[in-house]
Amino acid sequence: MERVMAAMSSKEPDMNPVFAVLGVYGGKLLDIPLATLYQDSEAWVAGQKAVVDTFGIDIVLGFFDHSRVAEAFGGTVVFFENQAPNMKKPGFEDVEHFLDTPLPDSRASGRLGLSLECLKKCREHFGDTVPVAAVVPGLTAIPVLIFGMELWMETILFESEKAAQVLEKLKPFWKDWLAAIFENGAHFTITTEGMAEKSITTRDLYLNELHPFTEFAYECSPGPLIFHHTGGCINHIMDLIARLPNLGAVAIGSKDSIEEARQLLGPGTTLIGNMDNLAFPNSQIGLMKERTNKLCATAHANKPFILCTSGADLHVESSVDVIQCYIKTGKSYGRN
Amino acid sequence: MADRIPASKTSADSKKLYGLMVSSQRNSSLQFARAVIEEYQDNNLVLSKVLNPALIRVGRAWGKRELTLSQSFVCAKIAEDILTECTASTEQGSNEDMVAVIGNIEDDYHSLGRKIVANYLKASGWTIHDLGNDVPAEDFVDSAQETGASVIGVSAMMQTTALNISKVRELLDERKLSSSIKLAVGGAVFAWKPELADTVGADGTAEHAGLANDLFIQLNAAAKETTR
Repeated sequence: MERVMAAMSSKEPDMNPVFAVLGVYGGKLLDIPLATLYQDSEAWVAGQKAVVDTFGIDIVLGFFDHSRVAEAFGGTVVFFENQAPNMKKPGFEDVEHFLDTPLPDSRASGRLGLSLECLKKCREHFGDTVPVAAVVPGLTAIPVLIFGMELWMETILFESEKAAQVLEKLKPFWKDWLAAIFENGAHFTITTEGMAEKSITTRDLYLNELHPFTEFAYECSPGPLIFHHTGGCINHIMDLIARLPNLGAVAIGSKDSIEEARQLLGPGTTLIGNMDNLAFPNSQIGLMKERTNKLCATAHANKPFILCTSGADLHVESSVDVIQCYIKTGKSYGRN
Repeated sequence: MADRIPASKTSADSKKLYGLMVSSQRNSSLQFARAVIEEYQDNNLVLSKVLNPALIRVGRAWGKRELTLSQSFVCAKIAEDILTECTASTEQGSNEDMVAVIGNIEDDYHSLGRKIVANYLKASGWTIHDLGNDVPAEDFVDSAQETGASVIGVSAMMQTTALNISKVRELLDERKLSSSIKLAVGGAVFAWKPELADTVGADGTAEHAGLANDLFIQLNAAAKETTR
C-alpha cells in the first residue's frame, strides 16, 4: 500500500511498485471455473489472494467485469472458459427507448451488487496492505455496453444531441455508482476510456462531444480516478486529461511514448503502464526480463511511474514464470 | 454513355467524394453521389471510378493512421449509402467470381469492424455472406462450400478469441479445401500483433478495413489459380 501511495504522491517507495491485470488469472491459479469466478464474490477474493501470494503484485482488483454493466442495462452476457465474460447482446437497440426507460440501480441491478460485494470483501481481506482498485468503464464508454459500439458510434456521429441526452441521463447512475464504489472500500477507481482512444475518435470529436462528460465524471468522484487507455493510445489528448479533477494517475497504452506522455502531463502526476499485455503468452523469461528492463529505463527517467501491463487481462496461457520475471525485474530495477 | 465522361472528370469527382467522406459529411456525400449518378447515367462507372478510388484513398489514409475508427465508420456508412443508391434500380454491383463468407469467430461479439469490412467489400463488388457474431468454425467452412466462396474472412478483437480461428484452418485442411478456399483474418488484435495471423494459420491479414479488398482480391486470385 505504502509503495503505491508513495509512487502516486511523488515520494520514493521502498521498491518499485508493479501491477499486472490478473483477474482471470486468479481463477486459473485456483482452477476455479470462470463462470464461478465472475459470479461468486468468495471465489473472486480467493483469486485475488492467490494472485498476490503468487506474484506479489502491488494493487488488487476489487472487481473488473464490464459485462455487469451491460447486464444491468438489460443486455445478455456470455461466460467463457479462458477469458472474462463479455456482452453478447446489448439491452437496447434504440436510443429513444433507452431515454424513456428508468435507469438501473447502480448498487443492486444485475451483478452490480456483486461487484460491490467483491470490492468490500477484497478490502476487508487486504485492508491497507495492498490497495484495492475498482475498474469501471468511463462514463462516455458506458453506452457501448448499453447499445453496442455500432449504435453508439452512429449516435455520436449523426445524432450528437441525442448522444448528449444519453450521457446526461447517465450522470446520476455514474455519480451514485462511484459513491458506492468508494463507500465499499476502493482506494481508487480505474476508468477505462475506450472512446478517447486515438484510433477510435478524432481529438475534435472527443473534445466536443465526449470530454465535457468525462470532466463531469471526474469532478463528481469522491475519490481518485485513474484514466485508462483501454488498449489504444491516448497521448493525443493528454493535455485534456492533465486538467481533469480528482485525477489520481494516467494509464498509458503500450504504444504511447512515456517521454511524450510525461512532457504533456507535466510533473507530479503518476503515469502507469505500459508493458504490452500481448507480449506475455509464448514469451520466454530472458526476453521478458529484457523487455521489462528496457521499459523501466525509460519509466524511471519519467517518474512518478507504476509499472503495469497494458490492456485487459493477461491471457491465461501466459506462464507463471514469465509473469514472475516481469514483476521481479520491475520491482528491483535500479535498486541493485 | 460512359464514354462521354472523361477520366479527368471521374478522378475529380472521386477526390471530391473522398473529401466529403473523411470530413464525415454523410448527407452531402449522398447528395453529391446522387448528382454524379444522374450525370453519369452509369452506376458501374460511379462505383468503379468514383466510389472505389475514394475508398482506396480512405484505406491508405487509415493505414497511415490519419483516420480514426469513427471517420472510417462514417466512410463505410457513406459507401453503403451510395451502394444502395446505385443498386436500387439495377442488379449491377456484385460479381459472381468474387464471393466471400465473413463473420466473427466463436466467442467474439465485436461486430463493428466486420460490418465496416462488409460495406467496403460490397462497395468493391464482392458478394458477401455475413454470418454475424460467435460463428463456429464448421459454419464458416460449410457456408463457404455452399456458396462457392473463395475467401473466408474471420474477425476477432481479442487475443483469446483470435486463437479460436485455428479451428477454421484445421477444418479447411481436414476437408482438403485449403487450395480452393483462402482464410483471411482481421480485427484489432491482428492490427496490433500481425504475427498472430501466422499463429492461427491465416493466408493473409489486412491492417484495417480499407485494405480488405486488396487482400481478398489477392486471395481470390490464389484460390482460382490453384483450382484452375
